[in-house]
Amino acid sequence: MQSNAQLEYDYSVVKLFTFATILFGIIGMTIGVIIAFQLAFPELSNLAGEYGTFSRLRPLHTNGVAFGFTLSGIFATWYYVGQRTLKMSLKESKFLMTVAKLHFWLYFITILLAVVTLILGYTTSKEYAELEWPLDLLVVVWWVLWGVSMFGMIGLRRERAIYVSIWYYMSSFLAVAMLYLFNNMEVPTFFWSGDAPSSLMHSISMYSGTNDALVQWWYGHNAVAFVFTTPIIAIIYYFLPKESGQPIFSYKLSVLAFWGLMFVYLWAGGHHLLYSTVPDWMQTMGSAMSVVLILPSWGSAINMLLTMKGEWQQLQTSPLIKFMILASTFYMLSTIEGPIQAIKSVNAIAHFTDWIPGHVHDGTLGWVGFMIIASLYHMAPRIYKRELYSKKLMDTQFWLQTTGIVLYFTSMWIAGITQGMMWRAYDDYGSLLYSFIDTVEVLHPYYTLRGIGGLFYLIGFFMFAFNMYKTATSGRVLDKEPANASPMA
Amino acid sequence: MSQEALMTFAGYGKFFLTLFIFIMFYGYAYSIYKRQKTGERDFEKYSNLVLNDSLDSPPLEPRDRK
Ligand code: HEM
Repeated sequence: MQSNAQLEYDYSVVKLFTFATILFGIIGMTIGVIIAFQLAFPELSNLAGEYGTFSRLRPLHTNGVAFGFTLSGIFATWYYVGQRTLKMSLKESKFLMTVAKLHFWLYFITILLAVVTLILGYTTSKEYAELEWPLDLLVVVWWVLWGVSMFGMIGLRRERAIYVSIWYYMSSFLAVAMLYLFNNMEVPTFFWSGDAPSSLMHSISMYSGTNDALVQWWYGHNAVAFVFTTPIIAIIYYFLPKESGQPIFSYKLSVLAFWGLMFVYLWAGGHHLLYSTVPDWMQTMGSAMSVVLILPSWGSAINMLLTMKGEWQQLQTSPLIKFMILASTFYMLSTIEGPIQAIKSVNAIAHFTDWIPGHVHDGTLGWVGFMIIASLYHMAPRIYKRELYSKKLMDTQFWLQTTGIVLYFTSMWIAGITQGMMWRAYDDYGSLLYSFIDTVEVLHPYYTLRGIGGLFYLIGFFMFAFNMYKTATSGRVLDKEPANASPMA
Repeated sequence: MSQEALMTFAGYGKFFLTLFIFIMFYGYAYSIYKRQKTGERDFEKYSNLVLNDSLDSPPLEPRDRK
């Protein structure tokens, strides 16, 4: 083995993806706050003609935060955790370095194009798969590039054992590749429409009716699994032990929870289609598998909490540990809430109501958002070789965002359940008691509260962006890489 | 194949597949805990892949790179 005395890890691609995470986070969440206020104050939908309507902006929000913010965060941490736990540097291979850079640039261009095309109204209308076919092709290219870099780095590793985080990243790569290809099978109509007018940007799904719905939610739910869950577990399995200096409570449990999650998750998508035209046994299976999913999910979450055993004082001293512990707590909350919503009788009330976005956001804001923020904070002193700019600001951000999340999900719980109950209330003669507008009036204050909660979270995100910028440009220079707890002023 | 035969086939298929994976999974869990207990393999040491991850710390299980 050659000496690696001068060899260092290469963080240039990590830095690029870190920048993208912050940029797309700002775009995606600002639009989130705008659409939240549009639901409370519908006049706001008319400020920018067709480009400012709720229906244009909503997919922009979901794509922006899922495929812009979250994916960038995943890629940034992959190039960091990958190199470090495999003990190889991108500097060692010109080829892998080129692939990684190409991965970033193609990805970045695709997301920018996604913003433009969605604003212009090009959409397939399939949730989380809205991008039209030319963009889908681009996505395939950089996804493959990510795979090449991933397996290339694994091939060049010095460490024989592959750490559990890397398993989670690999599962994310493989599963999304499969899901994306199947769900985005589409026919560009331009080439087959003969004389009929058709846009070059238009396509139709290869599936129809119930089959389309089934493939869509097999994809949709597993997009949650393999974009919002497994890679975030990968992140916490590296950054929590590293920042706290504690070995994982049980490595064995992490491995078992991995296989449990892999098997169960792929069967749960049917819970999006309860009481629909999908065969009954599939609905029941979707419900049952969703309930079983509590086990592997809580397996990982409890493993993280127990990792802090005997070290809980760190929660008082380090805002970074606070972010991560609250993240695993929110992971526990959303993985108990989801299975409850998947029970058929509960779903009869919950489906189509605001309880669903409530559930989505305690996971995405509390778990995904907090973990990505924490991991970027942890990486900053290592990649910029500078002390974190302000601990105080980080603490303020933590409390502001936590308050925002609580306002968001509590208001949506109340709104959702109220809505569900009002829709199904009827009198002695079987007539409905309320019309749709009655529900809208009752929900107005909760929509406003949600908007305010979202605004708190967004302001916190701006504090994060500022703190990161100041760290990179004017934090105190460190002479040596910190081992565990990240230094902060 | 008739619709009913197909459904029956799918039903049994699903049942036995689940049973198979159930046995594999718990068998694997048992084997991990047993190997740890008898000292055949220490799984817990893999936490050190994170704690000692600088490029000049020696690998836990070095791998020959040609
Ligand atoms: C600033 C914070 C945020 C605000 C104010 C916000 C607001 C919203 C709103 C108003 C909706 C539409 C709900 C509806 O149609 O009734 C929505 C949907 C959604 N948001 Fe956010 N959001 C925020 C952050 C995030 C983040 C960080 C993520 C992911 C990482 C995310 C993921 C989603 C998803 C997946 C949906 C679709 C939910 C569904 O179809 O049920 N959001 N958001």
